[in-house]
Amino acid sequence: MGDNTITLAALTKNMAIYDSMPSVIQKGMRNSIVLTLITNVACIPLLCFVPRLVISISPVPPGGFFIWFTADILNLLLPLAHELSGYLLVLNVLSLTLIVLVMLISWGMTRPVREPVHWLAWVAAFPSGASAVSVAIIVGLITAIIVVALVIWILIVLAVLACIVLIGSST
Amino acid sequence: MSGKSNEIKKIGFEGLNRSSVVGAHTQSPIARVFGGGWSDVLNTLQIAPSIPLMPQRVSNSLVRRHKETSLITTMNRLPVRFVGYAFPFSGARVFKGPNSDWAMMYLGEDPVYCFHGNKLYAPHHVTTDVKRMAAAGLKFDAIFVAHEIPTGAVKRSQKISLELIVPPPPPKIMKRLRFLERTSGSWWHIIGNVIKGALVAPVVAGVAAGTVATLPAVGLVALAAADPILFGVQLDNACKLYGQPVGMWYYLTHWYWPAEDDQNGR
Repeated sequence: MGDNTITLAALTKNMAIYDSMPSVIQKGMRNSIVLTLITNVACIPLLCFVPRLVISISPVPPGGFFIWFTADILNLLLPLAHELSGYLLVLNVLSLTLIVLVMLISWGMTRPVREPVHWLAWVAAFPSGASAVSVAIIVGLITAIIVVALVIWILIVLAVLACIVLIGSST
Repeated sequence: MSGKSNEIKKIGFEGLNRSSVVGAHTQSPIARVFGGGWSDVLNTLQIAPSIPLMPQRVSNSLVRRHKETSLITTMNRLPVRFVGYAFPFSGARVFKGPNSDWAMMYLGEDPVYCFHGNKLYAPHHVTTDVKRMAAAGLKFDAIFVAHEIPTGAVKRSQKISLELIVPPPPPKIMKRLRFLERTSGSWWHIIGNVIKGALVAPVVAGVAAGTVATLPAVGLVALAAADPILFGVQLDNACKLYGQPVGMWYYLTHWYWPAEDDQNGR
């Protein structure tokens, strides 16, 4: 049995009440932790990069690629993205800190942890998810404007080509 | 929980009260274990009430310790009972029983004890009993723990997996953990749908969903509700049978992990 014999006296020191027993992180919560981590890792560099991009391209001059109303919308959207990215970055860093803390305490989700740690992991999911949605909406809107501008240009090119063809055929 | 466990619960240790009977030939104490669930459990765990084949009687020192233990137990009204003789062993052993199997091991090698960082979590009344035993001056050379496991869940040569014997979280905590699981799942589901809608590209949500689906299922979701019994063993290395020291085994305590609607644990 080796030298590490547990005596009754030693056992009394190593006993704890069942109600305070730490629990393993359940599968659903593990998934949430992984998603939070992925979201934070993806969003933080993006949100660090956004202000530089906004400063370098704004204000978008009308008449370039972004013609007609697209430049105006973009000039409204970019400062908003710039402003929002600061707050979202703070939320993401906070969420990442909580998740890293949970990962450290639970030794990479391999050890049982007390209930407050489960709650920390749960809380961390909310700013991270909100940030992911905000980033997705901004990226979605900017992409939509780029697509709209591109469609307008394609229509212009097609119209010009059609005119050239029409003029050519009439002569 | 098996039928046998329920039987044990009903019978309690009424039958084990008179344990100081001495064998006529061996001068060794004989455990009086009456029928019912406990008899089956002790038979399964190969703890014999006497050692009639022993060529010599149990050493005086062990008999003296037994008398001391019996005296302390009676004086302090402790649940400790002498249950018989068996050879102590290292590592975990699986014992095949008529209704369920049992995994028994030295407490220091119990996967649950090690998993919780060398801590034994037990209901309040159990910790109180163990503290009373230690305070009364009971001394054992080793402490063993026996976990009830489903029949055939582990073969004799196999390792006892943690999932088989780890207790479920306390019901109140389990309820809250389920709430956390459910709400976080719903939250990420909503986030996934919003992102899908915002980007009009299901790829992102697909990747996220794919990540969730491929996570290793190492979680201890299907938690067993094993019924542990603690045994204290008194040894005398001078008293050997077939080259092994014989241990005098004492029942210390046992408990049941509570189901969601039962908070008592016994």
